[in-house]
Amino acid sequence: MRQINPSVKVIAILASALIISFSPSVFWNAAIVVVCFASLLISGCMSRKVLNVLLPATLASLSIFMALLLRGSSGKEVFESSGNFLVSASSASDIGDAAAVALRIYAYAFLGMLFSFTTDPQAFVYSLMQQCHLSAEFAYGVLAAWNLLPMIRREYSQTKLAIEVRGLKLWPWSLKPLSTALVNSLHWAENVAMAMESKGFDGKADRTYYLNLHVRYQDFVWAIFMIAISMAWIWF
Amino acid sequence: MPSLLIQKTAMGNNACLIDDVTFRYFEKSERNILEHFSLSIKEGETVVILGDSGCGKSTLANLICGLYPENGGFLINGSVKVDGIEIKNLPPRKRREKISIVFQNPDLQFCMSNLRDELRFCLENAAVEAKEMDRRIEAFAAAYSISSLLDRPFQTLSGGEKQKASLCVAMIQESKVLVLDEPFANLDTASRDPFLDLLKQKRLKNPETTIIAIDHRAGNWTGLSPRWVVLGDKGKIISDGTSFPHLKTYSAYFTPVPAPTLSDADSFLKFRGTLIKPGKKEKAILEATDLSVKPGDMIVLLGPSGSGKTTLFLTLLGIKPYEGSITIDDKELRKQKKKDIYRDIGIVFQNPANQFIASTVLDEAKPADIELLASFGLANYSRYSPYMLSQGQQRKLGVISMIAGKQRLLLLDEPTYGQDTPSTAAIMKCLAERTGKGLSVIFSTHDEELASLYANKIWRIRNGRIYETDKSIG
Repeated sequence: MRQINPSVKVIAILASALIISFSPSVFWNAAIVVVCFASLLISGCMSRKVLNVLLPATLASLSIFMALLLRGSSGKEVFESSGNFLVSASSASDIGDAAAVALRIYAYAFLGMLFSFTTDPQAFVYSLMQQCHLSAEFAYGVLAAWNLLPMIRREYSQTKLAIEVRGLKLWPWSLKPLSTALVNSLHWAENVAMAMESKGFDGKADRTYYLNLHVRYQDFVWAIFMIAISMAWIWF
Repeated sequence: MPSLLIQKTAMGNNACLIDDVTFRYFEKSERNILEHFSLSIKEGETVVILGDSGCGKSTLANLICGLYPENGGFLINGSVKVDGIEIKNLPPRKRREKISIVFQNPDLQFCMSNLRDELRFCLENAAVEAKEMDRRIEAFAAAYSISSLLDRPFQTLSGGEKQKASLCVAMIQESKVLVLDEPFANLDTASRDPFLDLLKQKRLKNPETTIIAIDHRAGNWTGLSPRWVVLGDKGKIISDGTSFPHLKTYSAYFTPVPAPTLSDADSFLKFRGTLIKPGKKEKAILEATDLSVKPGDMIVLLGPSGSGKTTLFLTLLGIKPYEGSITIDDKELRKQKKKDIYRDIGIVFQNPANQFIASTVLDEAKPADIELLASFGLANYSRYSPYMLSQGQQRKLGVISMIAGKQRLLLLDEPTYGQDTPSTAAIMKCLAERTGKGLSVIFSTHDEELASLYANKIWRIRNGRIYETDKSIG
């Protein structure tokens, strides 16, 4: 998975996600989940991170599953039936619909993980520049900001503390530390931009790339495979 | 040795020619940062430009590199030529061949996540072929023995290592002029030396490279036997020559404040068998068995960077967990509400811009009045936004607003960071007056001179322990 060109990967995954949002098929939605799961397993990306994503995803898909089950597509209020027969009263097609939607949420979660866990952010930015002709100024700006994040986080918590020490009560929705962080970030952005410029970066001139990414036929095969699975419900 | 090399090449061409430059930040403002400033620097020379903060040193560095006026300010008059070409007319890529720079703040110079990637980024900018890049980086790393730095994430590097990495980035560009803008602003002596060693190697390997360093301390640079240029207000050249300039030290600015009369009063803050931890589940990094703070104490906290000075402050503010006991007025710290702790203890962080809550300097300092602002030289700025002040001025304002809060104990994290001698002296003097009236201060620093001049107690951190040492032993 790590070998697939990042731009092709993102396009195929976005397309898949768009297509399955129309899919009513339990089987093919499950197939996407299985394929993604297998790919993650092969790429050696099975870790705590996967659980961290799956936990909220499971919550969301379970609650949608129950909601659709109890008030199915037939539009009839199932609460009319007595409590004990609640589930059995809902028709078989309701269960199918609910499962399809619930699995779809799972599929989204897995597609997202498939991209984010198997793609190096730097390679992704390189690929966006080389395959999608994103401007170098924007791309390197994003990379620089990405690498500044830990510092921004550290300074933000310090700002909150400093303001509290001044005797101001801070609520989670207080804007004061945010505006301070914003002023600081503007200042840093300026500094980093000047540092980049001093290293000869001007975004316009021709530059070489250390990583030269190409789209190979395997990338196309993989993309077609992914999109085909997501479209299979139309034909079968 | 380096001085010999300088003499050999000093007959060469002008590497950098600054001619009658007048520069200001706002087009219509009356305040010029540099006024009719001229300086010529020969190829292969090592020049150290000294001056107090606000004299236009950093502005000058940015002008020489062509970063100003492109990124800010207005060049009203004059020209800056590097290697015979007007620098502001060159695109960044051509400029890089002439000149490269190491900035003050080690956290704001990199756009990649480690040195190897950052070096590649530079070579990409120079349109070097991909195959050639690795060869050059390896050759460079071998020549200067910096291979161990290449793949460590920047986040895990110390400030000194980051600055060294930044020097590597500047060096691999093989520019004719190397500008260093206060690279040691927040480094202790120990982390300064590897940087200087690297620079000396460069000097030996490429005697034709011109080195321009900017600083407010001369002591950092004596090993390079440079030409010293001392700047005054608006960039006026006060002295220029090869003999070591006699700059004022802290003691020249400091009139001893009478020893606090209250200091035999009972200690209000006590550490007893305290273990300080950076996080709940982490191991303790600092041990304080028996320390106490009395009213009127001026305590300096000395220790290498990363030894836990900031962590100690955060513990006192109730942010970090600890084992054992820390008491304020015999009440256990961890049992007190944060609000009550903050009534007793205030802090000024390294980056004072974090703590501003008002939109003007005067409001920020309230309930302090304009007179206190004036004693810090800030009266003229009372209607400015705090964010428009220079970093040195911001720190003064941070201290004023904390004094105004009337806490009993004030914590200062590295008050000398980015500060010149007079500003530091002004802050410390004001604090010394307050301690005479019963305020207690703990400040962290790695500046031994500052410590011995102002503190009445020294707390040293060594091997994970904080202990009080006699002042005379130092």
